[in-house]
Amino acid sequence: MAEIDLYSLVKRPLITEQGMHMVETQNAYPFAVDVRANKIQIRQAIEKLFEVEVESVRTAHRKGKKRRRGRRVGRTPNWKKAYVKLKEGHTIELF
Amino acid sequence: MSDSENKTDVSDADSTETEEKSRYLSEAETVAPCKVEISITVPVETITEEMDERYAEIIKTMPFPGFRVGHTPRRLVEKKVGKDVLNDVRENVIGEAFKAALKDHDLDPISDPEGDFEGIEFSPDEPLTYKVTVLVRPTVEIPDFESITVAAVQAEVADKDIDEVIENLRKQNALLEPVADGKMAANDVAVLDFVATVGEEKLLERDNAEYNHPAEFITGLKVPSLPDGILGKGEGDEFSLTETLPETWPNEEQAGKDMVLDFTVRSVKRYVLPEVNDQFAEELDYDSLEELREEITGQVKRQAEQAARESTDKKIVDALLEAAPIDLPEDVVKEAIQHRVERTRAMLRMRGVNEEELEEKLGEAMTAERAEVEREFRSSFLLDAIAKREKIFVTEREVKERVAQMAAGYNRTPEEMQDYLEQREMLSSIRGSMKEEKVVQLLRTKVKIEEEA
Repeated sequence: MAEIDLYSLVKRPLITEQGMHMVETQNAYPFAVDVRANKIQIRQAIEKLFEVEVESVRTAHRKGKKRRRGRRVGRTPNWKKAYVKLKEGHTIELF
Repeated sequence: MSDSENKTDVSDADSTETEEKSRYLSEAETVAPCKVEISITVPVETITEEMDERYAEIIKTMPFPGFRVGHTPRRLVEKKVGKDVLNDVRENVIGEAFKAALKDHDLDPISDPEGDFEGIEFSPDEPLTYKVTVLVRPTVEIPDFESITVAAVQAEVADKDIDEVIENLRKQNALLEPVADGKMAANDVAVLDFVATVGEEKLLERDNAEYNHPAEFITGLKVPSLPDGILGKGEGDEFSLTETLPETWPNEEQAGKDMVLDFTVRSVKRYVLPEVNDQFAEELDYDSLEELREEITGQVKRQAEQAARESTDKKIVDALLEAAPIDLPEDVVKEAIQHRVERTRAMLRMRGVNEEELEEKLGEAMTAERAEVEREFRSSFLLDAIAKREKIFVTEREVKERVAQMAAGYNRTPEEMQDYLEQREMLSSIRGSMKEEKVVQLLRTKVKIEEEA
């Protein structure tokens, strides 16, 4: 598998009500990441990008949603969600 | 901010006891007559409170992706609309604080506040301080009405006044009749043919031009020597005059050159005043001379009485003003004088007064206007204060009635008049003068007026 650039691996933070809840209760920050990325790569990427220490990473594949355009049925792309739990005392300012 | 300084009425002292802490602090200092400088301080707490309120409101309604309406964290909202909110709060706080200051110090402003509003530094974590100056209504000590005595102005009608009116009527009804000896005298009217030439060039040629002595113009051409030159000339006479064209003449080649005018007198007419007799009265639709005289006497008397009443009113106000000195805001007075002087200047210019004379006349006007403007301001402040104390006001209905009266005078419907006045924003000044009239009416009953025997 080709190397994924660490900087483009993390696509965006998922700033939502539910995500905020995860941050507040578990110090776990949700991100949308490249579907090909594994937990280790995600950990490295987050540690480098935000200069924090990661305790654990959990990931989930999300199926793209069905989108109808006239008679054709399409899909939005599949994507991967990662909950990055930080070690105690670490935070990410974005949220 | 040191609010312990003992300046003129510091109001936060007692309001701190009633409210826990005043939302806005201010100090007012009178820097010139009717001019007050207000130093305003908005404590951080007020700003914070204000910000919290704004955000609470925004969060309640603003949709934000990923969050239910009303559940967006404030931090995110701040990131998105923080600048706008800050500006909003800034404006709001500045305005509110100013209003509060006016209330605290019981000030009645007559001008917009002046100050460097753009330059006010605002940050959500620091108290906001700024200064504004504002012109305020002067405090008026209304004198005791009973203590004031005014001698009534008597209406006087002399036979002379009536004669004058009749004389004017005669002039208005004068007839132009050909002159028996045909010689031109003062105030006659002549019909002339004339040719005006400059060098070889014909400037103007007219037949049957009417000339009213002693005008210096004939069909738009200025001929200063004509009034004297034409005297004694009769029908059929020919005469010539020479005028030097002014340097300002539009045609540059002709400017400064001599203009020769050749006149031929066609006819001379004279105004003949009608004799004052019954026939004269009948022509004016009266049965007899006696009736005409009576009518005129009545008119003159009414006018005189009206004038007398007005000058008595003026005396009443003047007497009150004397008893109640009022300090005027210099800026406003100056502005009003300037305004008037400009108007006079425009008027004089139109009349063609030259610049030097203009400046001189304006200088004179300045001093004269000053006294008048000051009196006007004083009396309006005084009457206003009295109206306030005596709870005199003008109702919408009364204004409507007045407008209807005016409409009748101008031959329009009341609605048309209303629209006309509204467009020119004259209704409020009508209301104002009606209020003053009412106050004066009241004063007439309160102040001692001595009728002279």
